[in-house]
Amino acid sequence: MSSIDIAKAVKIAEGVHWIGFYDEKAGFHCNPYLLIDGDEAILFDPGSVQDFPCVLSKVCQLVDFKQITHIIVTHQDPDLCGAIPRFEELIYGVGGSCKIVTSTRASFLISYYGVISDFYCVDQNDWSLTLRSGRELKFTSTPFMHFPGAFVTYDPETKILFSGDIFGAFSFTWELYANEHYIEAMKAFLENYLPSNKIVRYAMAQIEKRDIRMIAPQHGSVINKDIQKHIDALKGIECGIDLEEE
Amino acid sequence: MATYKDLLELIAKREFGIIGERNTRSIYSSIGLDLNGDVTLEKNDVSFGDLEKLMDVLKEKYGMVAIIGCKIPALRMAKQSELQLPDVLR
Ligand SMILES: [Fe+2]
Ligand SMILES: [Fe+2]
Repeated sequence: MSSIDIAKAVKIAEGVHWIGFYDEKAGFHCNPYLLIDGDEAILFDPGSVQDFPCVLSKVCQLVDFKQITHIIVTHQDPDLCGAIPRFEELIYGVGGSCKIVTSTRASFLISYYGVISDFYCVDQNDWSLTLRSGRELKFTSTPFMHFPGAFVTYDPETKILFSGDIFGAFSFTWELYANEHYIEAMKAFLENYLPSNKIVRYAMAQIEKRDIRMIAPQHGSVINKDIQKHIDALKGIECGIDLEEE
Repeated sequence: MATYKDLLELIAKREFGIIGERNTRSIYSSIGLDLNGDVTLEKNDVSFGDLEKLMDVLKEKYGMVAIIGCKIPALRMAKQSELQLPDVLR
């Protein structure tokens, strides 16, 4: 492990912080992120109930709950949505409010976590979200990667792609930034959760249209170099139904 | 046609990503299989029994994540070359 102190929030770009929990014994980790833009803060895939105490302590190092205006969740899975009601309690408890940013398809399912916030559905809002400062976040539909309504978020200012499960990985020797073995770690996870090569290729073709400097996935490591190499590796992945059809 | 040697080398490359290079080399050594620098096995007579042993040790030390993570390429190679797989990989 490098000298990065992962017990604290880690700045990965100007105004963007990794706020995850690293469990040394686990082979699967979740990566929530916090984007701070002026007096506004945006939570990406905030995480599970189990990771909540650690994620919360990192959020507290960076912002007041009142500043959190949006929680972006790529789909409805508990590893990224479990903590939403707990964050809502804290945000609304100090007189704040927030919106849950997701797809319409995911919103129906996320309701079952008992969320109290309104939804901001990306597919109903021209696939973009404008922050108070005028900064715009862009969303791209990546259907069936792995949920039908899945999408990724691109921040043109930092050129970070917040990719959700896409580009995620299994790893017992986790590092914040992807190393030379990351492609294998990524395949190990994604081969098991993605439906077919055709679906992956469609998503990669959409993703490639962006000028990406860094990929911040919800599992595994942050990819800060060789972006195209990682995209190309996924284009070649065989998964889901591919093996059945051979 | 691929052999069990090819299959165990394929799994080693994948495990470099999942459990890390050092841990993979140490697990392989613990079952009497040494990996060269280029992730090939020194020994040539590698059997189904070696694959079974490897899966047992991986499962015991790292749980199913380490097994599931190499399952798809193992299934593909086994299917193409008609190699038998332990239940845990099927
Ligand atoms: Fe998921
Ligand atoms: Fe996930």
